[in-house]
Amino acid sequence: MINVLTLRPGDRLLLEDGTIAEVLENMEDGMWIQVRYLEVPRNPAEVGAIELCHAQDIAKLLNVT
Amino acid sequence: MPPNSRFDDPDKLVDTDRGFVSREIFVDPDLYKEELEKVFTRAWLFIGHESLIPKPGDFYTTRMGEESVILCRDKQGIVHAFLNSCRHRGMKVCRYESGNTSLFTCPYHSWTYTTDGKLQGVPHFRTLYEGLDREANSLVSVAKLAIYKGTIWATWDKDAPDFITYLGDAKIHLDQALDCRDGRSGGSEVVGVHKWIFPANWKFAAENFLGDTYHNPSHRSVDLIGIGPSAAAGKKGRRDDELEKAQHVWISFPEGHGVHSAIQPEENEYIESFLDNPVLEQYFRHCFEERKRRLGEQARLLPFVGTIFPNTSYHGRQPRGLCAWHPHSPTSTEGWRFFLVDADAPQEAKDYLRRYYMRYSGPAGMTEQDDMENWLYATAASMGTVARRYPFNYQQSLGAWTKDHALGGTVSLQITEEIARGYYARWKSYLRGAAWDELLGVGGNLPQRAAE
Repeated sequence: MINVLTLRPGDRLLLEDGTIAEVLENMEDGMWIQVRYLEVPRNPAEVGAIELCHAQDIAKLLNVT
Repeated sequence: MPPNSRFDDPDKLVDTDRGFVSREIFVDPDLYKEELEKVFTRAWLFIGHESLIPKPGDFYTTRMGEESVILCRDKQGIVHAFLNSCRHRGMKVCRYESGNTSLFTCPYHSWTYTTDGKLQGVPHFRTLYEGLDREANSLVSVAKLAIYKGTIWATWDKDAPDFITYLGDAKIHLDQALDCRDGRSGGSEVVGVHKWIFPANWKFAAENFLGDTYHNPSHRSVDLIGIGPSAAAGKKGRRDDELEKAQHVWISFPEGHGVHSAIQPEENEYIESFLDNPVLEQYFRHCFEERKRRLGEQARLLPFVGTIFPNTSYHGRQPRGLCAWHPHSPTSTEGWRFFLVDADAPQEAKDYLRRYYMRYSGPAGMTEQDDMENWLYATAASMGTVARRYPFNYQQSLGAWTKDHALGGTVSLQITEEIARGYYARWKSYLRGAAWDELLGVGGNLPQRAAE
């Protein structure tokens, strides 16, 4: 389980649906971070979208800034 | 009113022509549910003050009827009011009284809303919710919201008139509570809020401030002790003497509002009112002279108390503030007193007034305790089978009023229950599900006035 409180802007994440996202802002509530989608295999049109991402949606921390 | 209701005819409950009001409307659970449905989802309700949420992200949890409502300022600075209930399973998304946040996260399944009410975050949104319409699942917003001289009001009824129209001619009386002591428009801030629950029907409190001057004997002991701001200097009573030479007026407005105000004599001179503190005495003397200079003849009108239908009362002078009487049950009410001062008043004045207000009002206030004792025992003594057979008497000063007065409304120059009769007549209209023109007491087309 990833402790999202440790995530910082620039960290890269693999989400559970295969999306790769970059942390923009940590909401610092232990649950939510704001991310920008970098690669969205299911729907490339979503690349660049900014969304909230819940801790449960994160499959893996790819790299830390 | 449902066809199977025991109270299918509101005229049997409220007879304002003869001056009788059934005790049932103060104790009966079915009527109480009707009120929540037909009064509190339609009327404009006072929900807070801008000074409680000055910065983007500030929130204050308030109430409309029995329901919890989030009052918040979004990151653009726009004020919103939302039902405090997640669209997924209804959990409160905000369990704090006040604070600052960028998100409201439901503790149950973590659905998360931004401060403009939009559903922004849904766990597993990308894997479990194909096509979820987040816009359609935003927090439930009030239908209309109005900010008036710092106070914030809202209604669930999209067809309700604008707030200024709703206020009608009661506006200039409420203004006296909201305007600066020196006559400038608006400029108040909340210096503290008291919240407490008491076992009485909410209408007892609302009626008390409609201008029920007749209940003054309840406060005889307080008057004899002297709790006002000149008490140490030997003045008895609860407040000051500035209305002692005034012509008192009791006004019932067609929208159901009622006020007790006062018109000072032509030789409108300052009356020393804060003898216990020279800083306050100087401050209020200055404010009085400034107000007279600014407003001229209009400065002769001074407020005393009033109730904006259905459940917002005010004290216009001392202890200055607004009260919201939130219904909890037929026989339980949560009182919220918002104490007001001028935002730019000297700090010493704010501190002094805050202490004086607490001495007077709120759960520990000596005068409020007198009032509550009446409301509590009147409620309890009206619940019995026999007691319910006997309506309350509202015959005081029947017919002793005029509609030919510059202040508008139905004006009485003597102590009267005409305001209460007007209030309950309008309450009856709401329970009938009347259209807005009737609720505003006007015929034909609804006059719309521009909101501030």
